[in-house]
Amino acid sequence: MADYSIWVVEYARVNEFARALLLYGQWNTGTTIAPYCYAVLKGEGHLAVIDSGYNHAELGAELAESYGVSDWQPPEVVLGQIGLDPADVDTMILTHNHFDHAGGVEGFPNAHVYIQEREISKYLWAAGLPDRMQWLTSATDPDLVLWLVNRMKRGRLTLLSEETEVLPGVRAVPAHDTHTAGSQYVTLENERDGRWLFAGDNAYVYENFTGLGDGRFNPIGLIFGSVERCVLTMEDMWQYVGQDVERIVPFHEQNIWSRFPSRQFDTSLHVAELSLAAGEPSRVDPAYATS
Amino acid sequence: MTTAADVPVELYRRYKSLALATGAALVLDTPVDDLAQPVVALRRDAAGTAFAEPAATLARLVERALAGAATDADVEQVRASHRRVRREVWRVHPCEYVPCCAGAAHDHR
Repeated sequence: MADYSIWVVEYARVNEFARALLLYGQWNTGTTIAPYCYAVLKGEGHLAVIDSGYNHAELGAELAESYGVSDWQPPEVVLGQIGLDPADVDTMILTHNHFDHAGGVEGFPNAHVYIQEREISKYLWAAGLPDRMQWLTSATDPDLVLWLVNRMKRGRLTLLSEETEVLPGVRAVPAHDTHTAGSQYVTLENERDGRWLFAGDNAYVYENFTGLGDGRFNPIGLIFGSVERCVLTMEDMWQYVGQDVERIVPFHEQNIWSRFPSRQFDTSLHVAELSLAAGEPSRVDPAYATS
Repeated sequence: MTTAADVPVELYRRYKSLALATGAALVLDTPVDDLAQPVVALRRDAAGTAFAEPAATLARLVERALAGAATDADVEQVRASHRRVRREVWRVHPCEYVPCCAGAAHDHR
């Protein structure tokens, strides 16, 4: 068993995020605040991130401004707030290749990147399809793939095809044909407090699991694979965490700040502290200062 | 002033699909042979349009990859020209990007 500190760090947010996108079928139910987050794991001699955020330059900025993303900060600020340096991140697990999760790889120059092979190979497959079917590739951009070439050439990219222990106690689990063709989620078996699961976009919010009060899952509202696969994957995730929704970490859930010890920094961005390894100072204690 | 007619969206779609596939092939370290002919055709059809330069840059990357000699600089040139043409396209055409993270409004114009 391993011993990790776990933080969920907000790097930007959307103040008017359509609820229908978070919860399948909830049309015309208005908007809500949706943070953009990634997770930071520190322990076992490693500093790891699950997802990367996006780079506000270029694609990130163009998309983000159109979506109303605000308060974006780069990794050196986001991690700097909790006394960490993105240059020290040695491991990055990308849950899928959408801009708000995989668009920030360059901000972690020394990280070895892990992504599902299927997430990439499907782009090659799709090139053989007629233009009328290219909606399938419309949630990505060539830039999101081309910048992985550099990492691959330096031997810092691993394409996964099956469940894999990436770090001690940290496993990447394929969730193919769900939110995307090659999605994955990440599980962590932590010595001090048990199991955690980082959902990627296989769950946007807790409500995907708790539903609308009728005891049924309500899957996400944007699915490139199948809704059936999404629900079956949610069941796998649900069972892994012993049906405890608070052990599932969605990256667009604003209620995470009230469910765990958290702190809002001067940047307006939040950090939630899910677990602290032995000897690790709390980053959400107002007395904690990085300088 | 650039107009939609100056930036034919059909060419952008072909170009984007091939650029995505080329990037995927390089990441997967698989041959790009199947992409060579469509990229040459794109380069020919894009001559004299806003896509002439990105199509030529992409064709050069594929040529170099076919020879097993693609460099970081070749990839970076494709990225740079892609960014330029994408900005141009989104200036005059609706963004084709399907959001997983949309706000209430999504409009590049």
